[in-house]
Amino acid sequence: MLLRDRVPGSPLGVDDPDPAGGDNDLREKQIAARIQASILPGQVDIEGLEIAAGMLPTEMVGGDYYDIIPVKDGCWIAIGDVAGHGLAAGLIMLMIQSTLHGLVKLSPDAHPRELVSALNSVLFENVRRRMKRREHVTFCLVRYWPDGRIVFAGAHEDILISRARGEVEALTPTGTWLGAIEDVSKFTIDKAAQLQPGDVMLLYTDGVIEARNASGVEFGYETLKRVFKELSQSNPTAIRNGIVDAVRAWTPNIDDDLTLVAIRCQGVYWPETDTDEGQ
Amino acid sequence: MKKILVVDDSETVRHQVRQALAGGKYTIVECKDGIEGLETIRTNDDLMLVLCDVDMPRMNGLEMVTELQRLGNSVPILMLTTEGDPALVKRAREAGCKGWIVKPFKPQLLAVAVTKFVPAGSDE
Repeated sequence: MLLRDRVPGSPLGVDDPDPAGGDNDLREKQIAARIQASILPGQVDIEGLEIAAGMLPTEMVGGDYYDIIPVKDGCWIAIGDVAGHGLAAGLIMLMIQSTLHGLVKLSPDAHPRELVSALNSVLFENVRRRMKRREHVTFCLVRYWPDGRIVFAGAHEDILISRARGEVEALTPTGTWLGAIEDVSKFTIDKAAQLQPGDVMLLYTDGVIEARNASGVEFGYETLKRVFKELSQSNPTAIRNGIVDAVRAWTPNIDDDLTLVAIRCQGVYWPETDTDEGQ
Repeated sequence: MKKILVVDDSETVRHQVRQALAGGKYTIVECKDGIEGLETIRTNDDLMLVLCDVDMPRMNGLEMVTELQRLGNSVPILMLTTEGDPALVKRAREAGCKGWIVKPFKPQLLAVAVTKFVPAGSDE
């Protein structure tokens, strides 16, 4: 139901999909899909990084979101997944995108945990209190600097890093779902890592690892790591496309959004006054 | 014009650098190894940036930057190499290099990196 009738507990009429799957349901999906597609970033050039990102949306609109926000020294990278489908998920994605951009504009040098906590406050107020809905969001926010440092926080899938020397490392963000509780600051912790020239960082949503084959077996985390490692000497576009191809070969019917952000550290630049380790 | 030195034993890479920095803003000087590079840097005090490979015959890039550091030469140096070994990256940083770019590189990325160290309006 879209702006049709105001039902209790759903002030904007943003309700679950029409169980009969009628025209309204279809319209909601179309609108949600347009919201989802329209807020994704286009080509973004960040000093020292080669980036290939993309989302394969499903008809259901699974609520995936990613973003790359340039700032004076580096960028912010975000990835998230709204637990829900359709128009409500699309609206929540739009809130995340708008709020995050505002926060970054205001505080480009903030800690990721600070922005994640502030974003959660907005989502909790909007989703739980005003929309009276129960969606929550898995979300990870990464701050990147041109010297290769990254700091990240949130609750989402592992960040995978293929090191130039061959191995794949997994970085687990620390935090909790957004929108579920009023204050996540106690659970949200910044972690840091160092990208070296030639390393490739991969962010992804659960649609990748939870894609099931005809027997119901998931593509899985270990398969993703293996495929990523096999592709890691390629450029980011080939890595992204190669993983999508592998998932498509695994499952004939992808039933959740699938998002991948592959980033190659092409170079690092060291500030004039900073000669400490930092590696 | 702003003078930039490329030290790399590969003609292909030197050509790629020339292409990436084409447009009349830079004069590109080329050397094939660290010994040639060292001599060129010592005799050209108007160099604004050095792009330097690591693996080269006779004298490698890290030996060259270490020697420059010993001599007190402060010309900005960016390593441009297929190497990504963190130990080598660390050595370069400790020797005073300004950055490390991996090959193959995107031409626009190299151009942006050069602009960072040779800003517009800093013509000699």
